[in-house]
Amino acid sequence: MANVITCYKWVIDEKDIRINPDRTVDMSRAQRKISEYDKNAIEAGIRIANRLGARPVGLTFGGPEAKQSLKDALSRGLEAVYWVGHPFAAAADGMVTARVLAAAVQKIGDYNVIVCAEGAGDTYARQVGPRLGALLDLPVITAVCEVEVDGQYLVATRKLEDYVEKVKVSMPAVICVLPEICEAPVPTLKAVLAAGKKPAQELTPQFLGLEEADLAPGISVTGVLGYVMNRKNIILKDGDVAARVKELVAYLKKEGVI
Amino acid sequence: MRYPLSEEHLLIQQTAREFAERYVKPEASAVDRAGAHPQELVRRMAEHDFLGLPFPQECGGAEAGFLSFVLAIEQIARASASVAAIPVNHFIASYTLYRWGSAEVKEQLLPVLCRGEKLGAFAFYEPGAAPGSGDRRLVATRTPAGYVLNGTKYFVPNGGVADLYVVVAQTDPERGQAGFSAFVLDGNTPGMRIARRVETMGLNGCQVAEIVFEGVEVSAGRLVGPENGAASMIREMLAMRRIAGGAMVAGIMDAALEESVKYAGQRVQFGRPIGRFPAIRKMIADMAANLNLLRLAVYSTADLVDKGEPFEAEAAMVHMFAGRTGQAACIDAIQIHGGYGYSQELPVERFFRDVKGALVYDSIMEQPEQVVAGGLMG
Amino acid sequence: MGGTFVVYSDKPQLVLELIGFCTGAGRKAVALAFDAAVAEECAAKGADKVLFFNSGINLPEAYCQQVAEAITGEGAEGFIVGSTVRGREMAAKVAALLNWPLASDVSRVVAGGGELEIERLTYGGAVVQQEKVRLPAVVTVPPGKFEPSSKPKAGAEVVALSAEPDGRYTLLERTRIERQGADLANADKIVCAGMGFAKKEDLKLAFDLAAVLGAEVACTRSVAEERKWLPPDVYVGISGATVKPRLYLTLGVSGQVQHIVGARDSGLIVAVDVNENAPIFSAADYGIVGDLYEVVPTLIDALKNA
Repeated sequence: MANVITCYKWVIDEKDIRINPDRTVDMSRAQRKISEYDKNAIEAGIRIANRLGARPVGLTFGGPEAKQSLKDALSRGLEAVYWVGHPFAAAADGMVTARVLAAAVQKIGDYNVIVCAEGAGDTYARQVGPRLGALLDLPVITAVCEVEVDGQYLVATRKLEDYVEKVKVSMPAVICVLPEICEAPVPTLKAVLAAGKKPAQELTPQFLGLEEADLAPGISVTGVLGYVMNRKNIILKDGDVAARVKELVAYLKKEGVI
Repeated sequence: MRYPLSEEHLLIQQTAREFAERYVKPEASAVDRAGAHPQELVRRMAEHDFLGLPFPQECGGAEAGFLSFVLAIEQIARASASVAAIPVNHFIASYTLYRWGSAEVKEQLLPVLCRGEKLGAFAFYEPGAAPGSGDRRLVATRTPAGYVLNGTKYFVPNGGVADLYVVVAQTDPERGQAGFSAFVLDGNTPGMRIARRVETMGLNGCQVAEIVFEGVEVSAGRLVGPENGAASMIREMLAMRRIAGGAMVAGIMDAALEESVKYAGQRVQFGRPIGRFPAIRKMIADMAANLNLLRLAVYSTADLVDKGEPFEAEAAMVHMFAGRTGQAACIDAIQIHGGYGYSQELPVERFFRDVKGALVYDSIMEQPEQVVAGGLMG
Repeated sequence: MGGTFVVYSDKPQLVLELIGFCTGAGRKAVALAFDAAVAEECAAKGADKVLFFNSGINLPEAYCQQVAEAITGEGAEGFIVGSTVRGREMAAKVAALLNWPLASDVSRVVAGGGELEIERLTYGGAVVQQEKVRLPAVVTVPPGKFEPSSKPKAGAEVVALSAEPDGRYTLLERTRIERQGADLANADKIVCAGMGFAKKEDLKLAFDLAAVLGAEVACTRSVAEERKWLPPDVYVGISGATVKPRLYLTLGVSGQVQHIVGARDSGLIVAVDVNENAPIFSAADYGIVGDLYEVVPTLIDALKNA
């Protein structure tokens, strides 16, 4: 049976990130989760697979911690999940990630659609999907908000800045979906329990025929700082409303915006 | 916290949290204010298997065990303890049938409870000091076809909204505590009437009712467990209720801690966030430490249940510890929030009202200190 | 330093900004164009060379192979692309074909010899990441980061290329998005409504204030997506619009990072909210702590008389 492969990323939950007063970033106590946008992508993949009579499977590339994501992904309705585990994943850029995923996709084989979210919740670089398509020499549609199957073709509606486009491509193809493609349901607890019985397979980079050089990124992170707004922070809270408003209007005049 | 949680437990916990954040939390304040039964949320909990979680698959459950159940309850309670109270009380009724029901009762009633097609309630308290002692005590008298019930049950959680009631009635006044039996009744049994709703301080979304029984005929097949055998059943259920109550308290404490940390980091006084002040830091540290210990106690005691080991003394300890630390944490949370904490603009005042409700179910027959000391000294 | 950067964007204004960046970095700018008028404009406003794909094209993404070949043909060490839906897709595919790294949506980029130093936002805008990108590389740059180039360079030429598109793509329809709400991208002033409004009808206060200020009305994600009080194209935030007005005035907005990231480049940020501990105040230049239902009518009167 043909596969519909949805790629997902196991990311740090941004809610748990602490920015210290000196702008250093503390992620030591942060939990991880499947990137929110990827949850929508997984559901989209399942729906497409249902329409095609195909098997929805998941694929992730991550460090040892990503192993914890497998049952989570399976509980969301995928029938199997593949995990390329390597400690290098933490330093991987889009180039390395797309290379690894492309090798894994070829190893999984017999695919007709590859679904990616438009971007990941941590880096939001929005490059892995189209990059993967180019490496596999498949047509790619990005920014997809609706998708239909038409025989051997996918017809997708994509949202650009000023236009909506309807694009038709032959399968196999890669689509990069926006979260509005479909809601991602919370799994039922029976689905959570059933996830443990579904197949999860680790694919090592060696098994995929990747060498160390293939895992070397072209981009290195040299600094990580918490974002701080440098604003005047003049907050008016004393006096009656009229007085506060009067003061604000005076400031706005001084700033030249009224 | 991992121990004694398996990967499966962690995923149950995480999924319950996702459920609670998505569906329960946005409704929490409205459920509390309206004080109405959150029908739609109960339907969703049923759909997501919360209502039959610990029971075997052949009974219509998810067969996840009791520890999974309390993990799920903690996460729901973290969003709304009112909403969490409903499946807890439903569980107590379901568990009674699962553990002591006849094959026929189990086959007929347990699957519909597990699937959440019907909601369960457990009726134990009476207007008098202890069941079987007041003028309006509920008495079951033998008839040729079974029993006839007369009297009143007071403080029945899920009362009025439940479809099935497990009711404890006195069957032999001569035998004291050994004279009670349990029955399972449909909510629409003739002669059974919801006399009024009991207004409560907290857990406002969980309906509490007074139920009057007037010549209610019950067939012998609806007796659950042996005649005059309810006392040991009650003891066991009460112990499980205490563990689940401890999970509710842990959920409330977690929410109180989260709100407090957030507020203490934002609220500036004397030029720095109040979270930098030692007095505030001590309160936060106490909350976090007690929450961690309570969780350990709740999870490990639930694990005893799953392993089939004795757990009544440990459950009583959970109750004692949850009572002390839960209330202290919620009072501290209000203190940290200053005037806002007292106001209904923020949820912390609700935590305080709810935490009391999570632990109020108790019995003079089985005070937790008595259970613990009795186990040690007889 | 020398060296060549190839630039592309489907937004003509953005191409000029990218040419401005190349010139500032001491690089030769070779612009790609799929439209004759754009090709001429690039040549007239600072590109060193323009490659014009004369193809009657409807999907530039269907020419990635040819674009990659052209970049190789120019001996370029960088492909600098405007960060739009089309641009990002082109950038990523070309990066894959050339086997180059790609730095996406950079908020700052400085070109050194052999490498680029960039900054970009991660974790929904909470974290700024500094990165070194070894050249050759692809970079996508959002609008408004560089001064557009305007003066012609000596010897600028337009070279026409013919190319066959990737036949696997068919464009069935292209519809211009009818904006239901304001054009926020170009707004000079914006009033943003948050969850502090109790009812949809009360948004009239925001519109009244906007009318007095000459501002457009925007909102937070919750107001558009959860309550559906305003169309989804007017919500500001990481997954919504990014705006850069001279004045951004929020009413009843608590100021979650995912919202603020969409407005953080505004000239002046002013907040009105009842909760003095709301994070919006640490993101604001000026703020009034107060009930917006009292503050806004007073503010409207004061502005009328100002």
